[in-house]
Amino acid sequence: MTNEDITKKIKEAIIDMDLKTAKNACENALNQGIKPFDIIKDGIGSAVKIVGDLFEAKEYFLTELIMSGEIITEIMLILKPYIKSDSKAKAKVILGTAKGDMHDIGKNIVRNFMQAEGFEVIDLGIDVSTDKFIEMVRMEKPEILAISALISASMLEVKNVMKALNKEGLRETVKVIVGGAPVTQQFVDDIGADGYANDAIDGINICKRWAQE
Amino acid sequence: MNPKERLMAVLRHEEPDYIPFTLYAETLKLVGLAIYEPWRKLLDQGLSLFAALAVQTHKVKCPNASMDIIHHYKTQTSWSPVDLMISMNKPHEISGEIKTPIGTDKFFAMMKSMDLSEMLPWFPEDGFFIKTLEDYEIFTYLIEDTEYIPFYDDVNEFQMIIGNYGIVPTFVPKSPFQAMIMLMGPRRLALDYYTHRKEFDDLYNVIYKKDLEVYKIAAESPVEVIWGPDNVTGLITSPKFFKDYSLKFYNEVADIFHKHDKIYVVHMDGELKCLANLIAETRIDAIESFTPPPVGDFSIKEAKEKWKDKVIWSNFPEPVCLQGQREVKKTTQNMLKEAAPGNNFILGISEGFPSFMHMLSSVPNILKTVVKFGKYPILIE
Repeated sequence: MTNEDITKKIKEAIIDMDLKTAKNACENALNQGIKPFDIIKDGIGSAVKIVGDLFEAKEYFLTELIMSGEIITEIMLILKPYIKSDSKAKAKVILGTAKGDMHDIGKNIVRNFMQAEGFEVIDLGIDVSTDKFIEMVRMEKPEILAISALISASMLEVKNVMKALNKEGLRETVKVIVGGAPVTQQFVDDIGADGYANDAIDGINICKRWAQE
Repeated sequence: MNPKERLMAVLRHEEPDYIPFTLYAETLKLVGLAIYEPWRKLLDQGLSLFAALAVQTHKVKCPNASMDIIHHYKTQTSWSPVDLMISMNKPHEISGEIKTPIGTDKFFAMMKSMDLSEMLPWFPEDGFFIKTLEDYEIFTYLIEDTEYIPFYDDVNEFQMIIGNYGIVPTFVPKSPFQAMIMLMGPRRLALDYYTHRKEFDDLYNVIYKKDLEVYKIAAESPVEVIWGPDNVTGLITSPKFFKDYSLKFYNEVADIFHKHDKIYVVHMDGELKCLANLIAETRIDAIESFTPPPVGDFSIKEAKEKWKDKVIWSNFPEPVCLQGQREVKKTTQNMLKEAAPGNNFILGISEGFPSFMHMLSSVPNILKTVVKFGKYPILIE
């Protein structure tokens, strides 16, 4: 089997939601001497793109995003000991669900996929207060702040985060993207955030564009 | 027509005098409606109540299992008995154990209050009932051990309280696939569907069989309307899942309900565009909490065209309230226009408002707009 065949097998296993084959192929790739970077780029990276495209085309749904994210996480665990720690992240992202909101499915998908795409992600979890977001932005100096709001009450909290960023003089240091079922482009415009994520894949694509700017 | 007659007319595909506008009638809202003068007037102006989560027509027990729940309030405590009791209704965490002869299941959740109608418990990933394959065995036992006993007393009591201001359905357990989502959460559902299909399908089949028992009790009860609290969204219940797991069940129970002259209403509050054709294939009578854009992804107009034989019970997309009352009025008018001439259409509020104040200002505004522009038949422009 050529190196290309092996990374293709990883890619196809992720797309087919086949955890066992994906893990075996990853171990096989390492045994064959394929560099972790190539496994990530040609195996995981291309799979992420195809899964994202299938999601956008409504051929894949949340279950497939979750499952492929889980497979990628498992593969990354296998690769971790072989990845040099000095490799530079695309950008640093602080991620969390706004206060009053306990939902984390979308947030976790975004986290898994962003990590696979080479972002450094600091996941603050659920029910994150405005103070916590501000404290972490000040301390970690991320390029991107990604906030999820799945209920309309937590949208008000996102608005508070934007106000606090302005008040604390941090607004110009970070790009803010907001997503979640009740969130609309209109709302994002009204509160002065930079990006509206219609869904997890859309959000990741926007962050990738920002990282390239 | 009074609010109850208006609602029932639409659910029976008859003509209403104007489009019904419904609010869930839960305990706290009922108290508010009873004592807050401006809201009490809304009832006489046509506001209809839908007591979705108030009544079940069965009692349940598992003779060979038991459950213990501990409520964790942490520092929310006091020396004062009154303060202590008030604390009990504040946000807190619960941890529970269900003991069966074949093993013990543990779960963990957060609760906003003790009133389940306010907010269901939220389960973190490691808090769901089913976390491992061993939990499948425990739940299979638990489901098979479950006994349902018909109990119809609550229906009459609650209908007496609501009177002609609305209707009291019975709410049945979630349909089997939606129950699976709630038992294990979306992450475990994805993992087990793709890695342990046999166990997944076996559990589904056990729930299916047990659900039929309790749905039959509802069918034989004195209620006119049966409400399935399914929270369907195409994001999780994808077309593949709906076709393979939901469609057959919905049609089997719809046929049972129809045999007993019941109206089958199912709560579907998510993104439904990808499920539109499959929903059309069901014999469900009303799609309740149908949420149009900007929150949902399927318009009222599209739904009316696609689901000609069904009542569309549309939820007002509550984030619109954040844009002010002018926008609330405009959105209500647009919803009515899309529903024109208004047959098979009910407008309601089934999800939470951004805040209590948003609810206080929006509900009267929506009702006023419905009364003014929602007279049946609404003229098509």
